[in-house]
Parts: sequence; C-alpha cells; structure tokens
Amino acid sequence: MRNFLSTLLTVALLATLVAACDSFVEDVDLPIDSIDDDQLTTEGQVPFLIAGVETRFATTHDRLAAYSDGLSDQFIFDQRVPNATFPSFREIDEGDITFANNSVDGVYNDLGEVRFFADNLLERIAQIEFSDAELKRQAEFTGHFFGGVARYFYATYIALTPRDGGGVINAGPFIPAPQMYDLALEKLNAALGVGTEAQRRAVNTLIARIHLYKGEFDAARTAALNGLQEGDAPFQSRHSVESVNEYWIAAGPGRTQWVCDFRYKALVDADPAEAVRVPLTAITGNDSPPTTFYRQGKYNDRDTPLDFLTWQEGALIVAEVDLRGGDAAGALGRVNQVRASHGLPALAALDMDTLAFEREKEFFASGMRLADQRRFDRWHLGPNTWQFLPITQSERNQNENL
Amino acid sequence: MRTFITKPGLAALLLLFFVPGLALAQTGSLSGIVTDGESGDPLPGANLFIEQLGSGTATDVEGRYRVADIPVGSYTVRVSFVGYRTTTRPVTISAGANTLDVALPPDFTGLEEVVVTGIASATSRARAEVAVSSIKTEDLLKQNAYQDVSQLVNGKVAGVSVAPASGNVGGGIRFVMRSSTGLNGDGQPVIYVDGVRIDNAEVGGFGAGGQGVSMLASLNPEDIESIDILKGPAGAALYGTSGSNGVVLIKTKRGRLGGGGLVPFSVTYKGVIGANEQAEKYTRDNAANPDIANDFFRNGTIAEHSLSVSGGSDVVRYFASYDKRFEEGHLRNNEQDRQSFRANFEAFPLQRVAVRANTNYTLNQIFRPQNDNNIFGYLGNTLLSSTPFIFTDSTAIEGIENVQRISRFLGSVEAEYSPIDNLRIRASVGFDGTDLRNDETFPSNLSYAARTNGERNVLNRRNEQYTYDLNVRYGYRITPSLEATTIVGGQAFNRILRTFFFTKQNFQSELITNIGAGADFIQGDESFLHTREAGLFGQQEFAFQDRFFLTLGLRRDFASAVGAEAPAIFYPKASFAVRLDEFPGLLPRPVNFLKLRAAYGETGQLPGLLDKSPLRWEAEPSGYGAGAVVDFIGNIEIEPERVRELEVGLESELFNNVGLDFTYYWQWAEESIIDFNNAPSTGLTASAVPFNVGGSRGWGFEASLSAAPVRTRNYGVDFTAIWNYQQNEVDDLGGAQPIFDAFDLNVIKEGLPRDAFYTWSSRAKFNADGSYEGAELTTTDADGDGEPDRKFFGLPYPEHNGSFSLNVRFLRNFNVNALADWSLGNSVFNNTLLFSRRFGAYLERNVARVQIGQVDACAVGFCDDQDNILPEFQDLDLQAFTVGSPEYREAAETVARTEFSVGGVDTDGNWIEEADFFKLREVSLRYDFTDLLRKWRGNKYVRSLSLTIAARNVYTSSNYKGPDPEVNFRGARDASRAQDFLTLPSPRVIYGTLSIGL
Repeated sequence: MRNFLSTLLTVALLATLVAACDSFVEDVDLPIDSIDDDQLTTEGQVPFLIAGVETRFATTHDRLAAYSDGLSDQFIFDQRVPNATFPSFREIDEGDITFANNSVDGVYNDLGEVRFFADNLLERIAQIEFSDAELKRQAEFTGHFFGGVARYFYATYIALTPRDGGGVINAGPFIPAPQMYDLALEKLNAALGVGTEAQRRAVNTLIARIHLYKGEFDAARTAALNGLQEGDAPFQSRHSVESVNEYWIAAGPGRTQWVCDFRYKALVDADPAEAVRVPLTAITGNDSPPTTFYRQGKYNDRDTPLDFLTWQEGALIVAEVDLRGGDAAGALGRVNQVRASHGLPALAALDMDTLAFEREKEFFASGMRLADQRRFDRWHLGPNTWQFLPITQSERNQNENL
Repeated sequence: MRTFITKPGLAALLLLFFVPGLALAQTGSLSGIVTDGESGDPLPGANLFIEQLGSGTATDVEGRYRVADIPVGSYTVRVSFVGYRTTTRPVTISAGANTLDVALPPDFTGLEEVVVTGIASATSRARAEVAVSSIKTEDLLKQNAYQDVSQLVNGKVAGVSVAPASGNVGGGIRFVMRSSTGLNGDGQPVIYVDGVRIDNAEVGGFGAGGQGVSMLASLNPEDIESIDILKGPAGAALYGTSGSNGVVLIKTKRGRLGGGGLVPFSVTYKGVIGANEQAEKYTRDNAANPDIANDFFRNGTIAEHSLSVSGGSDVVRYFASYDKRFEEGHLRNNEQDRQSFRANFEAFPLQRVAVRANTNYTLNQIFRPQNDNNIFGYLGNTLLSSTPFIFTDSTAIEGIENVQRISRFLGSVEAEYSPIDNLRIRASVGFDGTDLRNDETFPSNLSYAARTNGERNVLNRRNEQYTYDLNVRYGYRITPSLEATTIVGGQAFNRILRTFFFTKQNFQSELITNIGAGADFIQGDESFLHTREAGLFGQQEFAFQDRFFLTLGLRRDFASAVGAEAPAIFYPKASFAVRLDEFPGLLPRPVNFLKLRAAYGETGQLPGLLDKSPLRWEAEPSGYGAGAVVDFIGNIEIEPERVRELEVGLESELFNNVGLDFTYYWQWAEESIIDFNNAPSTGLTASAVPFNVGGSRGWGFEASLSAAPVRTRNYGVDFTAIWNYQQNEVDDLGGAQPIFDAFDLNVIKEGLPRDAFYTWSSRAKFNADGSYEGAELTTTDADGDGEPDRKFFGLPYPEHNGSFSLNVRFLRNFNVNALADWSLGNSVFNNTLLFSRRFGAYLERNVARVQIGQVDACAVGFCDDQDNILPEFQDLDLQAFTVGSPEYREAAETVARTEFSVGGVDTDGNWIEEADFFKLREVSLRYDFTDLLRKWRGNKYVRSLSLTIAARNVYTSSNYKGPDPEVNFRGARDASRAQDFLTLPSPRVIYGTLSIGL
C-alpha cells in the first residue's frame, strides 16, 4: 500500500511539474510588432489593409520605373560616378541580367505582394459586414485598381525570356504580355464600376496606356479622352522618409549610381527651356581628369512623389493615335497643349519622331522610356539583351509551371 | 539545533574508546613536507587528510604541515594537490612527534582533474564517459594576457575552434563545434557562467559594414578559473534544446585561503601594457593603394590593470576583483575601454549548507571602424580603385563615430544543502542583464552619401535572461562494489529582449549632435521578444568496481511558441566506459591507464518563436500612412530539429607522462527546419516557410597527445598536440531548392557539406590560331534546367585543424610558452580582389591583359604622363607574348579566371582561394621571481612576482592572397561564411606583463 501511495505521489508530482513547465513557457508577452492574420478580419482594420496595398504599390512603382530607366537608353551606369558600385545595376544597364540579380529580386517580390495584397483585400472584404458603405467602396476600388496595376506592371516590365514580356500569377503558368494586359483591363474595368469620378478618369488613362501598348489605338484614344483632363492632379505613388523614392537613393542626391545618358545634357544645352522637363544636376566623376556626369534632378528629396498617370499622357496618347490616323494638326495641337503646360513654346510641326521625342522628354525619369523604345523599335543594346526585367531565379525555382 | 560535537570529532572520540591499543591521553603529532615528486620543490597549499579522523590540514608556503593531538594508532593519510596525483600512505602514530614526507607525482595528463560531464554531474577525467574538454586558466593567465574568452579557448582543446570574424577589437566571435551538423540555428554553443545562461549575441546595431560587437567581449578573462566544454549532444543531452552545438561552462574564481590557509587574504595585481599592430602589410598584389591603406594602421595602445583580493576562512570565502582594460585597435576609430567589477562569496553557515553568490558588473565602451561592405570604409576606399577615396573622403571616414556602450550585470545566487550523507540539493537563480546603447554620428560638416547635413543614430538594446536551476543528487552503494548516483532536476530559462532605435538627419552644426538637433526624422522602430524554455531531467549513474561506468538519462523540454501549443520533446542519453588498466595483467607495462568509452545523446534546435504562426502582418510606414503588409509566413506543424550524436573514444596514459586521447563521433540531424521560399508571384515572400524535412550527418575525430618528456628541478618541457578532423553532409532538404546565403555563395544543398561554396567559374577559350577568344564557363547545363551548372568550390571551414603548444621551463624560473595552430581544407572567397578587378585595379589581371596584347601597359595604369613605365612597376614582365606560346596561354588563362561574370552568371568561383594556414598564435617568455623572494629574508609581504613578455599572431603562413584567412565580412553569425570583403585582418599583439602577489 505504501509503495502504491509513493508511486501515486511521484506520478502526481511529475504530472504537476510537466503542467507547470507547460504553463511557464506559454506565459509570455506577445510581440508588439506583428499580428496574426485572423486579427485583420474586421471593418475597423480595412483602412489599414487599404494603406498596405497602396504602400506596396509605391515601393514597386518607383523601383520598376527607376530600373527600367536604367535598362533603357535613359540612364547609364558608370563606375567613374562616385558611389556607383552595385553589380546588379551594371547588369541592368547592359541588358545582361542574371536571373539571380538581387535588385530585380527585390522589386519582383514586391510586385508579387501588390498583386496578392490587392486580390486578398477583395477576398477579405467579401467576408466583412460593412457599416460604412464608402469604406467598402474604397476598399473594392483599391482591390480592383491595384490588382489591375500589378498585372499591367507584369506585362510592361517583366519577361520570361529577353524579349517575351509577361508574368506569372500565384505560381501559375507564364502569361504573355497581351493576355496579362487583358487581365489588367478586366480588373481596371471592375475598378471603373466602383470608382469616384476622379478615380475613373485616372483608371481610364491607364486603360488608354494599355491599349496603346497593345496597339489598340482606337480603344486607347477613347479611354484617353475619358481619362485625366487638363487641371486634374496627376495620380502618383507617394513616398516618405521611411519609404524613400528609389530615384533619390539610386539615381539622386541620396546616392548616385545611375546617371543620365549624355544626350540629355546635349538636349538641355540645345534647348535650355527643356530643363523644366529634363532637370539635370552635374556631379563630378572620380576619374582623372574628372568627367562631369549628370543625374536626374526631378526627385531631390526622399519623399518626392512619382507620377504614375497624368493628363499630359492622355493628351499625348490621343495625339499619337491622331497622328497615326493622319490628323497631324489635331495631334500637334495636343502636343502643344502639353508643352504649354510646362511653359514651353509651341512646335510648328509634328511627325512620329518628334512625338516620340516629346514623350521621351515629357516622361523623363518616370519609367515610361523602356516601353516606348520597344514600341518605336529604338533598342540601343545588342540582339540578345533583355528588353524587360527577367522573372527571377526564385520564381523559376519555386514555380513548377514555368 | 546546535550540535555539541561534529561528526569527525565524534569519530575521533569513538576511536579513543574502542580502537584496541589506544590509551586515553596518548597522542602524537604528524608533520612533514609535501614536495613535487620530480623536481623536489615544496608544494604550498597541498591538502592532507587523515581518513580515519575525517580531518586534515594544508601545507604552508614552504610545503610543510603539522597535525597535533592524533591518538596513537594506524591511519591512512591522503595527500592531494591540483595538478598532482592523489597519494595515500599508511602511517603509524606513536606518542610524540611523527614524521611523514610525501612526494606527489605530477598528474601530467590531468587524469585527476575534475571535469564536468553533464548538467549536474562532474567526475575525474579517469572516470568520465564522454569526451571532455577542460581549460584551467591559471597557467594561461600567468603566461599571457587575453582580450576575451575566445582567446582562452582557441587551440587549447580538441574539437573546438574559436575565431573572430575580423580584427576589430571587441568584434564578433564564432565557435566551431565538431562537425556542426545541425542545419538550424547559428551553430553556436550555449554558454553558462557560474550557472547563468548568458547572452552570447553579436550585436550589429547601426552598420559599420558588417562587424558587430560580441557580448562575450564584456566578460573579463582574468576572472575566469575554468572553462569546461561539452562538445555535442552526447555530452550535452541533458542541457536539452539548444544544446545541439554543445555547452560551454565558464566558472569564475572563488575565494581561496591564501598561502596554504595561513594567510587570511591574498592580493594579486596584474599590469599589462602592449600594442596592436598591423600583422601583414597590404601590397600591390592585393591592394590598389597599399601605401595609403597601410598608413591608416597604427600601433594601438593596450593598458590593463587587474587587481584581485581573495581569501576568507573556513566559514566565509571571497574573491573580489577590479579590471580595467583600455585597448586601441590597429586601425583608427577602433577602441575598447572595459571595466569589470566582480565579487564572489561563498559561505558555509552550517556544516551541510553552502551558499554562494557571484556578481559581476561590466562597463564596456567599444568604438567600431567603418569597413567591409561599406562605401564609408577605410579599406573600401583604399583597396579597390587606383583612385583612392572614390566613395568617401578620408576626413569624412574618420569623422564617423560608432560607439556601443554596454553595461552588464551578471550574477547568481546558489544554495546547496546536504540533509544526509551523499544527498545534495542544489538550487540557483541567475540573471544576465545587458543594456547596450549604440550611438552613430555622421558630422554635418562632412559629406556622406544618403545623409543630408549629417546623421545621428541612437539604438538601445536591453536583454534580460533569467536562469533557474534545481537538482538533487544522491550517491549510494547498491552492493559494496556497485556505486550508484541518481540525479533529478529541472531548469527554466526566461528571456526578454527589447530594442529601440531612432535616426535623424539635417543638423545645422556639427558641434551639436543630440538627436533633437536634427531637423529631419528618418526612421525609428522598436522590437520586443519574450521566450521561455523549461526542462525536467533525470539521470542514473553506475560505477562497478571502479572499472565499469554507465549513465542513463532523459530530459523533457518545453518552449514558448506564439499562436500555438508549446513544443515539447524528449531527449535521451546513455554512456558507458571501462577502465582496462584496472584489469591486472591485461595491458602491457608502459600503459598505466586506458579507458574505453562510448556515449550517445540527443538534443535539438528550437524553431523560431513565431514559426507556428501561419500568417502574420506588420505595419509598414509609407507615403500613405502605415499599411498592413505581410511580415511572416509560418507552419503550424513545425517542431524542433533533433540532433543525435554517438561518440566512441579512449583515454590513455603511457609511461606515466604521455597522454593520448582519441574520440570518433557521428552526428545526425533530423527534422531539420528547412525554409521553403514561396514563388514570388504568390505574394507570400515576406519570409520563407519552415518545414521539418531536412537531414544531415557529420562525423570526425579529435585526437590529442600530451607529454612531459623533461622535468627536472631546473628544466622542464611539456607539449600538447591536437588534431581534429570534421566532415558533414546535407542528406535531405525534403525537395527544397538549395538554400544560399545572401550573396549566393554558401549553400545548403543535398549531397554537399553545409555552407559549401557552390557557384561558377571560367576558363580561357582559344581561337584556332591560338589567340585568346574569351572566357567560357567551366561547366555546361548538363542537368538541362536552362542554367549553367554550379559546382563545388570548397569549404568555408577546415577539414583538418589543430594546434601544437609547447612549454619550456629553464634555469628554474624562466618559462617559454608557444601555441601554434593550423588549418587545412578551408577556402575563402576573396571578394576584395574581385571588386578591385571590377574597378580595373587588380594587378595580376592587368599584367596578363598586357601580356596577351589585350591592352597597352599605359592603359591600365602602369605608366606616368609621358608613357614611361612607373618605377614601381618596372619589375613586371609587361611584354606581349607570342600568340599560342605557353606563356601566352598562361596569361590568357589568368585573364579568363579573373572575370567576374560570364554567360549571364557570376563567376565567383574564380575568386575562391584555398586558405590553409599555419599561425604562430601565442608566444611568451616569463621570469618568475617567487623563488628569489622566498630566499629574501626581508620580504614579508610579496608572495609572488613575475615579468612576462608575450605576443599574439606572431607569424602567419597561408596561400591565401589576402592578409588574413580567418575573416568574414558579415560578422561571426551570418550564413555568409569565409567571405573576405574589405574586412579588417587580425592584428599582431605585443604584451608586457607584471604580476605581483601579496
């Protein structure tokens, strides 16, 4: 009996100790800097989720724009520029980009997040009972619009092979650019259905751009005419001191690695008034005797916003379509309308080269040059070079559909 | 209740009554001298114990003892002293004075040393069932001065190597334990100081390029008495989770009864002056501007003052110390100023009770220089481009101040109670609290990239660790020849870590640098981590006839997990040893000791605290306010990694003074946590997802040979040679793609050793006429995955390594000590040379390009303005070789293998160099005046006096082209290993030391 009691006591003691250990280790204070997924299922958290989608759009837009300018003939990478050291930037500049390029890796990951955050927001709000209809509308617009923007980014900036633009959604098969643009348009049309008047105009400008890139000129013209109008504020990606505009840190006062091709200096020398659209800042190289380089002077602060959609773009889209349709006079009028908005004198005549040049200056340092180089067949690098940023090694490794 | 008579007293009383032949009041005394059995020198402080009386005494400063009032009769006397074999002698006490002189044989091979063999077990090396490594610091600290604890360990024991990641004073330290088989964690052992699990982080704080500050830099080596190391799960199983990389147990000094118990206290002063200096100069072969780079180096001053007081009585003992070490690094802006206060107390208030308190407070201030992957670095601005300071002006580099100020309290309270004979209950509570503040200032009057009018960074890191320990140990005899010991206990650990930082820019004046003076907020954030671990364990030990030893143990472990049930896991262990020398006639005569042993144990590595959370979100500040973005993707099923180890070995002693130890071990890691990256198009890339699918195995041996071939009164020679061999291989990643470090070089891949270099390289391709066509990859796309195949380029750690230490005593009081270590089979990625080639400044390539006619000598910087070859390059062979000639082909191969990118991949393999090395690590010469002092009759106060001159990193031989083959540009804990990128090499250190004992 005594043995039985001893055994019982021992077992009870052990059980108590085990339970004590269990509760001891579970009694910890939770992290303060992150929350579980299921804590984001209430209406009150929707503004936080909307801001998340916008945040990731901003960090994706600036880098896609800056790197694509680096790949285009707009920016150059030269180690004589003080602080130009990133091998990944050199690769981009030369169009000889490895799949493991870690600069591309970063922005490609962010692009995946914009798409996921936007789509996930739509799924999440479908489960929430809203008391605030405007909040619900804003959330739906955010989900549709940035879902469309993400798909537009894939089609415009990303490729499987050097010349095959397009992207991948949710580890699926490669979607070539034309189909990806269609998916973008689907989303953007859904956004039109829930957007405010101002939002709809911005969406239409992007729709116009996509049709233009697809060569669907009439549709582009129609959308552009419904897009942003003179006097409308541009639709921009917003930046802050903690979410720095990539131009500032990669091609600006923060750290200069990319500088402008010397022809921009020549352009401004030839027409100093163009410094409004093509602002340049001289910097001294570290060679001997030192070469003077010129970096973009458009984004001089960490938080300078970056234009994504402007009314001027809509006008130039209409002008291009009109010019292609033979209405040079109408096209010239719209181009001069754009020039006048910058205080530039009117042009007397317009052809496609001039229009392309106007676009180059108008969209200086905003990520638009790469697509125009492809559209106007003005590629500046060798035959096997990348005209897009490659789908990264990480995607190729993890995605069985590629 | 107070007792009137103690147990030994009672025994003596009983003896008086009952032992035949004893007569009341008939007593005698016993006196004599205890000496070194070989040199004949007296041994002060040796213990003499009369077994039948249960009491004894200690020898005085001249090695003499006297015990009075011993009842006449026959006794057994046991004499022991650290470093000598315990000797028992029969003695017959008759009335009056009796004499017994004892010469103790030296314990050359340390068989009598008490070593730690597990969580609550300690035994002599002669009985240990696991491979033990124990460092007694007394001789080391006499012979040398050490910057930190890592220098006390490296080269001293088998199976463990410790290396700093750079030459930074106070920089990060990496322990390499055996074959480092587990795939999880950072491979570092758990470190305990006086029973307190301490913070062993490398704190990066605000980046100075790649090197952090080691929390071990705040431990004063002069306070350390011993370091015991359990090298793997076989020994460390009962330490539980996180013990898979072994356990380092540091014991600090305790109070001693000075001078053999006759002096109530002793005072010791150690004064050190010295200098850190550049060990290897940069040359044109590895630096674009060697002279400018070398000019940044200096002879950095070292000054250390260490004062300790030790003593006490039979009831209370104490050790108190103050140590101040000021040290300038060999590169500007690197400095450490450390002050350490320690007070250790030990009290025996009752016969069966002991209470101990160990307290240590350290103030440390470490200035870090800018280097490594950093445009503000000294080396980055001098080694890469032929135009120096292309990134940052030299004044601006020197203007950056990065200082970590650390205050640390480390303390424990321990109580030990033995309610009955052989039962010991021990409980302790320990605390390690570190408060670290990192300040970094970029002055506003100097120019820095991405910093507008200067920058000020402030970081605070507060770490609190609590260790609770309770164990009960009971020793008993089952039969007269079968001893048993039962140990049960529990451990708990609680850690809270808080960090906070703030950055501002735009300061109007460089004279005012408080963070409030900055006009522009840049960033700020905080973090909080709270984790707990607990474990229960039991261990049963058996010893049969002092020949067979068996231990069985089991531990149940628990750990915190956010958002899920806490993981719990069992870890078993078993070990066995047999003393063959205890079987008469079994061994040949020269073998006086031989023990065979085998041990098996399991431990593990915990998953991350959040690993069981399926999806977590954080707030990211932006131009839209703070938005919700994914922070972490976890796995609800995740469990700890389990690491098993089996070791077999032997310890032997031949001719009484040659020790040979050998251990072979196998390690297996299972359920290793492999992080799977999601495809980026899923949008779930904020973190990789952990799965228990990995496995790896490791194996190796460690051998040591020690001998004392010469030992006379005036001369002595002893040496130790250590040889370690270690291998590991990743068996299974569960289908995951290879996992690379951030720089795409060190890989975890099935079929390869952990962290192996795995990349591409190039070679020359020639046209039909023999002219150089260009570079081509050395591999093709044999596996058809659309990308050229990578290949293995070596290991970032050695396959074989070891050390040789030698101590020579001559003219009685001179000691020369030397320690050399070596490493074979390790490689280093020389990213410094790669980048100097990117900047067109790599000499070997430029010469080769001239030789194949690719460029003119003047186009690559070999000429002056008049196109004459500059004097410093006139020894180079700058002629263009004949196309197709052997010299031409050799030069073409050089051009091809100095490419950094071929066929769209990075040919980093071209820059991975074999980096075997031999280093004469420590040399010292000491003269001990103590003998002279003894002879000087006027000396009443000075107990000991010695003078030492010593040097560290005296000589290095390596085929590595950089100055130091042991560095890593991402510090001591990163997955990037053995990558040298503008990393500060270790200095040569010169010391002069004066030690005085009062």
